[in-house]
Amino acid sequence: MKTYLAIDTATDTLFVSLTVSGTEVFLYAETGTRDHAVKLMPTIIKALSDHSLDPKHLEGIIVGVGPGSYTGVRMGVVVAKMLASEWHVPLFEVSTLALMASGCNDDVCGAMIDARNDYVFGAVYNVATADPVVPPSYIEKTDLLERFPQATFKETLMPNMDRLLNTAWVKAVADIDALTPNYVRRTKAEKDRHDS
Amino acid sequence: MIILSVETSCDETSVAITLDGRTVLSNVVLSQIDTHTLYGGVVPEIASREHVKGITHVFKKALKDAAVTAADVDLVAVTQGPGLIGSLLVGINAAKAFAYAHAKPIIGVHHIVGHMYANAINQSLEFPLLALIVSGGHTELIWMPSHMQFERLGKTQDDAIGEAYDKVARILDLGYPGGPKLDALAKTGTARFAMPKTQLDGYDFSYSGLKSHVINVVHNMAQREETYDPADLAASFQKAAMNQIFEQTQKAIKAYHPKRLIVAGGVAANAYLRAHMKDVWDVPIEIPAFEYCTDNAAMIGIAAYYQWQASPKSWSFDFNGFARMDFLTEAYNKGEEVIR
Repeated sequence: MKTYLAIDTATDTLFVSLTVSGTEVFLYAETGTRDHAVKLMPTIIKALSDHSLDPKHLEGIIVGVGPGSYTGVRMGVVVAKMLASEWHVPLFEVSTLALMASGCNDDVCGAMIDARNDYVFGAVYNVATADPVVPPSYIEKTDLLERFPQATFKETLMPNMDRLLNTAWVKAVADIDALTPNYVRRTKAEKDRHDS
Repeated sequence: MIILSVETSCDETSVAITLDGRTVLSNVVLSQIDTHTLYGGVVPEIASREHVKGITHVFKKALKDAAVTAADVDLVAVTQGPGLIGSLLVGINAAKAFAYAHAKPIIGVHHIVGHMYANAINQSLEFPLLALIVSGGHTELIWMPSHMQFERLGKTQDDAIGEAYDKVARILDLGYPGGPKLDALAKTGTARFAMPKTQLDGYDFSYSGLKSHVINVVHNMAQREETYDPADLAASFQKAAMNQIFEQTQKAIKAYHPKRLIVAGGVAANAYLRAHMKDVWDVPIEIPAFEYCTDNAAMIGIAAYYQWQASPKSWSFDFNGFARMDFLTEAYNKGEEVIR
């Protein structure tokens, strides 16, 4: 039966979910607090201890790898890597934008995260198959909206765990040590160096 | 007591295993120096990204090198600050997750306290002692009557000495990391340029005047199209910068009569300092081996041992990292609260 811990820290929403035997028994999705560093571990600990879940019964840890806040996404990714490594539990990665879109009930659904200056981190998915129509990108907001005038765009993180666990949204991480966030954008220093 | 310690405050991803606050069983340091050399200095966002890449591997290597298992670890310790916040948070979250995964207690350690305790590797500290901290972010004199008791006697009024070294190295186009390159170049030059002597109160330091003077000299000579040997300018700057360290520290030694002077921080690796300090300072001096002068997790594990002796209580998992923080408080000594 499906027993998974899911974490995402790439947006203003701190997301921690525990599914035990196919049922989501713990959900924390608080928005706007910007204190993931303080709340992430205590929330994970609460999820597992509230349900007396022995980590060795986890079939996997699912982590949102961004894009989104650079500092934010790193925390979730680092914690997920470490817990999966130390507990010897399989690790699964999923785009934060896919987590958002998974909560949509349309056939084709987009997701976007504000990236300032009229840009967003955005993606569009075929919800039934989890195939990305537009993979996670740094893109002008109006450009994305004009290309998909009919699509719903999710801007908050409220994943559908049932859909995530039963379709191809999440991908197994083969080398846990090597997992890094999908930042989508290079740092300014890298870009400047590349351009010069 | 076996401590696993983590240090990611700047551009080194480091995890160490230490025994009883004295013996280093392993000290893995994954340096990002090659990456940052491409940009002429540490780029904070790149440093954070590199930490994420290396962190779990460095944990595993530290345990393997020390031939201990996670179950053998009695305490997890991690640099809480000061430093680059994005970098600190990688180490803090990794340390918290490791401690939780293995049901171990965890504490945060002040980066500079770690640098001071690099001097307790393989030996006991003799109190009362005077600590001279010289690094890219700090230039301070600290009085320690006993373990984990700190009183600040003086600090820089502007730039830290390592910061001034880096800026002067940049003007002389020496590349990154500037401090060690300037130190090496100065060795080949003559201190023939006159440098200003800053008037200093008490035991404080100041480096912005000296730094600005070097910048002006370079610009003036460039305008007059004069040629000069950069090694001579490096030697002149280094001599003036170190003289200030020598004089202010000697003043404190005379007034306080410490049993030992301990030197800490990245600039403790400076060759000129090491070559001349025994001629100037009238007290037995302890200075860490080169590998423990720059950022490393072993020093955090040594400091953590004494911090745990003072307050053997695991911190709650909600502690945060701080880009700026002080250690001169009763609260820090008790491990309860940290001032930003």
